[in-house]
Amino acid sequence: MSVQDEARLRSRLGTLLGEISPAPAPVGSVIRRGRRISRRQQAAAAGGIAVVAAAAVLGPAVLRSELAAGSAAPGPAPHYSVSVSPPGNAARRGVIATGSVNGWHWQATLSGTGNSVGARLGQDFPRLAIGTPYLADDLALLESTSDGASRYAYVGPVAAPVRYLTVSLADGQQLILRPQPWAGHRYVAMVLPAALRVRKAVAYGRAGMLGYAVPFYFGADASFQTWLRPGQAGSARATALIGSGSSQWSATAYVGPWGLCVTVYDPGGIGPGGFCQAVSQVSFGLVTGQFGGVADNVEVGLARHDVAYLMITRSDGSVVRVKVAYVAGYPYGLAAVLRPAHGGFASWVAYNAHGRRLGSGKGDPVRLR
Amino acid sequence: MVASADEEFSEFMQGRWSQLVRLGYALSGDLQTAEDLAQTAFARAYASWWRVRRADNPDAYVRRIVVNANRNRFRKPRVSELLTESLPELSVPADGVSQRDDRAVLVQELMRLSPGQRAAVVLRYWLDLSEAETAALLGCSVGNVKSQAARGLAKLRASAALLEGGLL
Repeated sequence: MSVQDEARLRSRLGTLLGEISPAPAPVGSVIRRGRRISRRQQAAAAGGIAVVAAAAVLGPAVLRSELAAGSAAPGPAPHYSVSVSPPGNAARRGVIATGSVNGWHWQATLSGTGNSVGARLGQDFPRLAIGTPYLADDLALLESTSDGASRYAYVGPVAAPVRYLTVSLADGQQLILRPQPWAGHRYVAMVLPAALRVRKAVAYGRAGMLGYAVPFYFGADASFQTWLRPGQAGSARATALIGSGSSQWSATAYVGPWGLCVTVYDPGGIGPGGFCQAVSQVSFGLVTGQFGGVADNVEVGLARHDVAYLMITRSDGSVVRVKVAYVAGYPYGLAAVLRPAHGGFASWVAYNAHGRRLGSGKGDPVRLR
Repeated sequence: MVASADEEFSEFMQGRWSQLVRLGYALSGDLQTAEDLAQTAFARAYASWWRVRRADNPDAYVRRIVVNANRNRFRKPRVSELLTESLPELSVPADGVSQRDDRAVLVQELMRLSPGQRAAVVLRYWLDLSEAETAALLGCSVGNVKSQAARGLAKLRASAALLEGGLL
């Protein structure tokens, strides 16, 4: 492309984007949302301190089993009354479900088409972007959003054969979610108290049970990433620390019936994060494969079963040695690395346990295509 | 956060809101999503305001959140990108018809680029960031920015829609 072309593109982008007039800046609602994030970060930090204290008292083995089990809250749970109903005949267009949590009523309304599909659940929740449904072999894809304080909402499409879902909660309650059509797909929605966990979601079709999902919890946020066939047990639960650094960042992998989930904590980032992926959905390069991607400043990738460590050269020329961790029952190794504050990664080399070079590449080792 | 810090944040947000929404629009192709992305960025900036205000470049901080939040929109599902035969419908704000059409064509062509190419093109050629600034914001090398931007530009240059519309 010529310099003139570049100049023309700059000019066109400037003109066309510059003419967009967004709604006035919603300063008040952003500050309220920011305060909720801040409170959540403080609560997470307090939880972290509690976990560290528990580790000191109980020992790492107990702590590991507690985390692997999804960190269930100890003590008697408060009572919650939760309901979900399909929309009534007089419901407005786009309403796919209504319900209540301890007398507080909610209504899930979809809008948009194609990549712009999103859900609103009232003023307390930010709009949940859902996008174009891509279910692959999933029976349902539930996206989540939070009011930042005490409730989580889950909304998403279900696969064509699904007639309804049942959701079993930790206190014994069971919800029935009946899909409603919107923009060529069918969707379900539910709102749950943050402290009330889902034990299992089961999808039913015309001829009976199609499959089930056991969620993984990122704090109070459930991730339904792996749908198992009836009778299929899924992976045994196992946990491993896959990386940590002097700036207190850490990445931990959890394998279980939910697939593989990684939680990331980086005090220099914007808060705790993580991601999940079904074992069957791994895209793999020669030596390393892309996993969920980036949470905060920490990147996590997969390594072939024989990779023991990676030597990664940063853009500034410094080299970091990243040990590959293995979790019982998971077929690949996992590597986590802190992204440099400036620049990125220039190249990487993978070695086996005997120091033999297995492969190399340019750029980011955990973003191979 | 004390009132004066709230005022400071309010001023910061007011001054950058439009530009961040436009960045989100160029990356996502959807105005509603763009406003959500910008809100997310500012809310997170507020939550870490004591750190953001001390940063050398607070603008880079919020832009980075928008870029990452847009990337993460597709991350929770199992695929990071969805390849379809037809492009998704694009929402277009109400304004002059010809400008709206031009913008729709340009954004449609931007959406045809990979997320990395799109981000590199938008940051380099709209926000006018240097290659080093773009690399820092995207968390990749300068070489990667160069190649992503070059590939993105080459694709745009080959676009019949842009050429026919006299947009390039």
